[in-house]
Amino acid sequence: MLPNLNHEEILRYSRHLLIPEVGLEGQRKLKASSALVIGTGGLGSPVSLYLAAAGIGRVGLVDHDVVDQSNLQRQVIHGTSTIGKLKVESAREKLSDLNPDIQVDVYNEPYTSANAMRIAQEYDILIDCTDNFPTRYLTNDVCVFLGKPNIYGSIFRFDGQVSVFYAKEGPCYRCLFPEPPPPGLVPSCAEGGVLGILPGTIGTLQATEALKMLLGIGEPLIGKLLLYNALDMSFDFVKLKKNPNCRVCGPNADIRDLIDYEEFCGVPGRDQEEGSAGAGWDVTAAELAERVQRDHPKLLDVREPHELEISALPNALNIPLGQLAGRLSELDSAEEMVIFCKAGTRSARALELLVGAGFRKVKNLKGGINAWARDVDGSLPVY
Amino acid sequence: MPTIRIPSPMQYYTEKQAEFKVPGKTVLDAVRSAAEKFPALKFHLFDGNDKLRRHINLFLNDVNVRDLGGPDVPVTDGDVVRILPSITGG
Repeated sequence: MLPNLNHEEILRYSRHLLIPEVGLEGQRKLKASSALVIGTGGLGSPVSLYLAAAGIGRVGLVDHDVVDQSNLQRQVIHGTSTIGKLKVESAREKLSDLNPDIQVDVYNEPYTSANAMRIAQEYDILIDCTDNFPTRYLTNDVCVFLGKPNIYGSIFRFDGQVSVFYAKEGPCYRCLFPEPPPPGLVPSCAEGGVLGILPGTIGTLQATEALKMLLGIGEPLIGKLLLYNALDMSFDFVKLKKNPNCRVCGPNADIRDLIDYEEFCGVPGRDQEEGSAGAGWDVTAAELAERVQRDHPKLLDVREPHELEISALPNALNIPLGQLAGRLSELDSAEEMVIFCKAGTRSARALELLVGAGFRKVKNLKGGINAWARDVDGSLPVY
Repeated sequence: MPTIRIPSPMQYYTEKQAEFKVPGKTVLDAVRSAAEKFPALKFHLFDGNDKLRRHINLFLNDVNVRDLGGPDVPVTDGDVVRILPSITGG
């Protein structure tokens, strides 16, 4: 039995009610439906705003981060007044103001194998607004096991991808991407950058697909992947099919429970600090400043060349992380070397690569050149 | 010659070219030709054993080569080979 709409709701949603494909029946369906938005950042902002505006009865928000100034270039659900606030609380405030009639649940916790099924089972549809591979694979597997649609979106610089992964009717995420890339090879927005408006476009497309699925109208992107490029304003589509060898949704699936996704994706565990290469492999900015004065270690900068225009350390050799494996011959394993990047993440990956290649006298600058700017040389910007 | 379409994350390594023609009788040949033309691409496309990296999908026009029997599917003039890596920004 679908819930009725009161007079205020009829006025609020009148522009939906006027569309034959939605109408009163469709709006009542939306009021009865629920969506879990995993991530309240660039994608999660437009997704949750538009679902709230559309009158989805219950919206769940998952994020364990706080609002940061660098978020505001694209995470439009937050604001300057909410810097430092929990993202889920910041988002809840905005959604509740936009539409006080909906229920907004917040989950200020990491979304992991320990809690994902418990949280997700309450909702009709999951929307992947995450920014990392472990959570994407987790979200996919949860959706396959619970038989729920996964509205997928991802972005990088000027490119976006959108699809509906719904194993009951088509491929899942793992059908397309059975394995993640090696850690550090595909940068996050923090490391590679993103055009601020891009998640607005992709997130709105995800919200569109969510509404189509919940209303049962149109042709959802099941079995199709939309590829968007902002620079040439191209919308290309490629066909996707179920992978008969898919380990999660295939006929011979051997993954039947949630796994350790960080281990699967080769990323450090949660107890390892972001920007750190682990105990014994880090130097702090202050320690490096002393060493630079004392014994001049070799400095290896693994950022992209255009980042050096923002800030740079003198006499550092620049080899972008993506090129490092092919340029090891330019480095001397007998030399003491400190590796750095923007915030310590890519340099930690570079350190792993070098240690794997037999380098032993290597250290990671914990927190990267941003830590140097904060703790040693305030004339350099933090970015 | 088929056309190869490069995703924008990798255009940094192809002098910002989004697509160009390459020699090749198969999809995989065409991708290898692209890596020969722009050596910096190779690390992003192929692993240490010279195998295509597992997070990379190849499409012949709009169909995944996996659905056509694999990357050794033949290509002709007018075909477009699309390289599709996974991305994860959000």
